[in-house]
Amino acid sequence: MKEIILRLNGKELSFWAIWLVIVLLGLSLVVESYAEYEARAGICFAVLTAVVAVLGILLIRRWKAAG
Amino acid sequence: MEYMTNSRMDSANVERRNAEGLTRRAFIKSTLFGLTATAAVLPNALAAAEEKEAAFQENRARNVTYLENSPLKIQEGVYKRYDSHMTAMNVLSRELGEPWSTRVYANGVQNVLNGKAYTDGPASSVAEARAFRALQCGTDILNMELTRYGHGMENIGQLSWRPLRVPKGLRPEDRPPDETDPKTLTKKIKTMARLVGADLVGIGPVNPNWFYTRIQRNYAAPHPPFITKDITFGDISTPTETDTALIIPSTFTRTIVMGISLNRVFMQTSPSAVANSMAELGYTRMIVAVVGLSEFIRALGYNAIPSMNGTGMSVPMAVEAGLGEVGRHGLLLTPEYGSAQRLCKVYTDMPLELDKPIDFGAVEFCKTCKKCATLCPAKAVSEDDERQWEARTSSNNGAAFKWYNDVMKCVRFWAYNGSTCAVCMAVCPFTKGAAWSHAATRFAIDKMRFADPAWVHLDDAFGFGELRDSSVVWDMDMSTYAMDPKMVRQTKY
Repeated sequence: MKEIILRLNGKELSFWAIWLVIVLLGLSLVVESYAEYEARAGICFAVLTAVVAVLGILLIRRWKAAG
Repeated sequence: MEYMTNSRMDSANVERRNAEGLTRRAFIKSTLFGLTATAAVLPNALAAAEEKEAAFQENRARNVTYLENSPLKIQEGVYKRYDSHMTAMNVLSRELGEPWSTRVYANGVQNVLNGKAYTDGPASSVAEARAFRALQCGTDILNMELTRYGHGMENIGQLSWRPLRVPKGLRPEDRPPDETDPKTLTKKIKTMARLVGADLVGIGPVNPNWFYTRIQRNYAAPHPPFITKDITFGDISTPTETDTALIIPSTFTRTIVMGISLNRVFMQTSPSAVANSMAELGYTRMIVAVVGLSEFIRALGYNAIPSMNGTGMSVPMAVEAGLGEVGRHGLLLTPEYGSAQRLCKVYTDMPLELDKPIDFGAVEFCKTCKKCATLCPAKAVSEDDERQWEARTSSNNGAAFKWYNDVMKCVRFWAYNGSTCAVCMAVCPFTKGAAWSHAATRFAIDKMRFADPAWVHLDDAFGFGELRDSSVVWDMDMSTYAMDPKMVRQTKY
């Protein structure tokens, strides 16, 4: 894990940090919604979080491929 | 029988402790530790109430804009005080020739026999329908026995305008107040209000505009039903009742308005008996709040008038006491509980600091959001874009700038439904839990008002405010009085 992080440059590190924060926020919304008996909102947040997470990964792959 | 002497008891205790391996030093240490832990972990109820109020004020200061003047507008010279003889419930009772609630209850029993949670809403069985109705019976009993919503019950029983149990020597007529500093008294009043169950408390002026011109005695009152009494203000020192009038001393300058929160999920089973049980519980809790606070005030040497739904209109009083704004549905909207609270008030001659009215973008949001109007089963809520000056029915009080609702349609629906209805409260986008995402949305609603339409669509898309099956309440995680545990934690309780 440490090696992976050390291999990242500043830009990539910032990107993954932001990505992680967004995904964690999304997951927290999912958990909160279920705790509040708002199942549909929970599903919506889960789908949105998954979409954002996947988009993030695709974006950084394309970015790296482009050099 | 042989009794133990002290010395024999001591030696017996020492032997027992020695046998248990507990030395005197260990005993003292553990006792001291226990006492310290108890003192640390169990703050007394007053301190907790004070802390809750402090947390509330802190939260408010961050999230609302305070206004210097009342946001409520009336047409001067045209506006008249409302005659509560004309409330929809009183009109319906006269039409039916019996109290409106008698008809509602009769249809409610019929619903149980038909296995329904409400007239158009099936329950899984007759037993389940009966359990829903039983919730209502259990929650409204004290209100129905003692105060009947306080409507037409002014100066009767627990809602007496004179001290009930304050001992002689401490009553206002026996001894003048020992504390007269408004700041100190305000703090004490707000602490006491929390202690007797208020989830929100604010202090506003006594504005005669919001008082009824006359009241109609409740059918449960020890008076012939439907007789009326005027409400007037007079230069007297104590609240007084005559054969024809209820007279409030003109020295009464403060209205303490309290909000009793209602569990959101219960309300979202509306228009069922389960949602109604939550409303009834609100009234039952109100009795403790208004009677307790009034007696507290009287014991401090001041006069107090407790009031539930009676004497005057709670919503404008709550707005001027800084609790919230008036929504499209005519109910109070607060940043904390949205539409899900009931209101009660205590009028007093105690010098108290006034709270400022607030703006958190609710009225602006209501202009865009018509969820309560669209989903109202009786189509009683106004769908007008902008607020109006003209009344829609004889049960409205015109010349005030607000949305006017067809309250007769609303109450007639209750009679048909076999239970009161709170769909407008339940579906309101402000009626949310304590999640940080909702707090963030409320912040955005206030600061980015141009985006209101987007929030309404998102609220729909995410399924917020959707009505629920009544059986949800049996498996809910709830605290005392069905308070949302998360809300309770948020206020540091």
